[in-house]
Amino acid sequence: MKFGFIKLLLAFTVFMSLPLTHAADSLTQSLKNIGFHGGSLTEFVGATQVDANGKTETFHFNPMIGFSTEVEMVTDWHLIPEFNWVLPRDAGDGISKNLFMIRGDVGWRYSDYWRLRMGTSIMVNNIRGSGGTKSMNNGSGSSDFYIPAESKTAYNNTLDLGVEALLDDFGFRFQTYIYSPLRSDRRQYSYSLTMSYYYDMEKK
Amino acid sequence: MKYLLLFFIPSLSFAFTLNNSIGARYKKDKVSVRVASNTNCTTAGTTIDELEGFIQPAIKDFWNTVPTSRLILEDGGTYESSDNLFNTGELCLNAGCASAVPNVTDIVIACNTNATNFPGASSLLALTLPNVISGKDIKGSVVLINNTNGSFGALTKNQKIAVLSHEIGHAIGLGHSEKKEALMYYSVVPKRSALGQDDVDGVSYLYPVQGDIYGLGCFLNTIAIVNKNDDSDNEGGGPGPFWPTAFLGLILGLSLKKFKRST
Repeated sequence: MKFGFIKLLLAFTVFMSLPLTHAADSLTQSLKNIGFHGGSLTEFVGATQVDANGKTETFHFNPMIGFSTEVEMVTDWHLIPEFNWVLPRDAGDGISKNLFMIRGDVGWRYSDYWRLRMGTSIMVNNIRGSGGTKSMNNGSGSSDFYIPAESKTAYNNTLDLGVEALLDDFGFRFQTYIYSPLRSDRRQYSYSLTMSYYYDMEKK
Repeated sequence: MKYLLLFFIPSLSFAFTLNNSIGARYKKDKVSVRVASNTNCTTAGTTIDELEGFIQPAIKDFWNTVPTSRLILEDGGTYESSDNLFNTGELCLNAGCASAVPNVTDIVIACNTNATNFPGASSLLALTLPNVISGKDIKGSVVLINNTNGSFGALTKNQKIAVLSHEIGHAIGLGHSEKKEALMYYSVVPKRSALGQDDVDGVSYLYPVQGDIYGLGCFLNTIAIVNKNDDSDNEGGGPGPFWPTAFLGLILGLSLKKFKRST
């Protein structure tokens, strides 16, 4: 697990450093700001059932926080490395879920107030349980079922598209994360709504 | 700070479970689902052809939709068999007793009349057990439709598909959920259109995908992430995200270089 995260970190470094080498004459000149984000993630829109009558997911409040920085490549174009953490979710019975999003976007500010973003994420989705048994209805009585006792992590790359409204030091963003975009049977969409505060490195 | 802590309060919900204590699951990525060729489903009110027709939607609309899972279920058609024990044998659920239903590879569906499997002529629609397990590796599972009464045949088409899909959930290692929206809920619900979050979590836990790139899987077959807790988790899991991500970075970098030169 530790080895995996080291490789992930290394991959992210390679992923971000290659564009950075071409971004500007010096990093200090091109580093624009540091962003702090808070919002909510809704996973697999329309693809998970939320009640007994067949209604599917449209919005779910999964709080997330994150930070990012911006490097200017050319005027109005920025490279935006970002890290987000969807706060631990207790799925019940001692099972918890953690989602880390290691992201990189290219942002195009096409007007004073709007920015389009496109990029990719490594989704690190961890599920762990505390073990034990639980007695539940089995259709004709009750049986013991087993609560997971290990920690398992799924890694996905997603294709991400977003639009952000910018107002002074603040941003309001709608971002989609497309799982398996090249494989229609497994393609799923998640989205986040976030509010950001950008600490301007040039101004301050 | 106190507001932040609110996020950690348990949601008072119930989660997915497993049907065995060791977290057994299929080691391979692709598992076939088939119907025994000699099964007789007359009392259950269905046919082999109808069951075969349900396999595709039962896997395609449910278990195969999860991008965080590496498991791919396949419609394997008919399982050639002349062994009548599929129709009459006891599928032993308790430790220490020998199951009379033949051992199989992957997942085989049959209709069964053994009253011991379905006590009390019961409301049980079907019964499933991974009956060939080696270590933590499920080799084969049998799904038995209750052929002692017509309960299964009385269901709507969508409910029959959901029942089969639920049983396939057991076959791949999952237990029940107490959430009604979950496919692994013990009972039929008015409408079943997709997996519940519990089901998604469960199949992602048992079969976590290892570095899927945009759905292409292992087109760069290099390094897999190593889970020190269980090396076998990497079976067929495709590449870790290192090389694909570095590759994407390289493409992005070269594109930006070219773009910058042209401006």
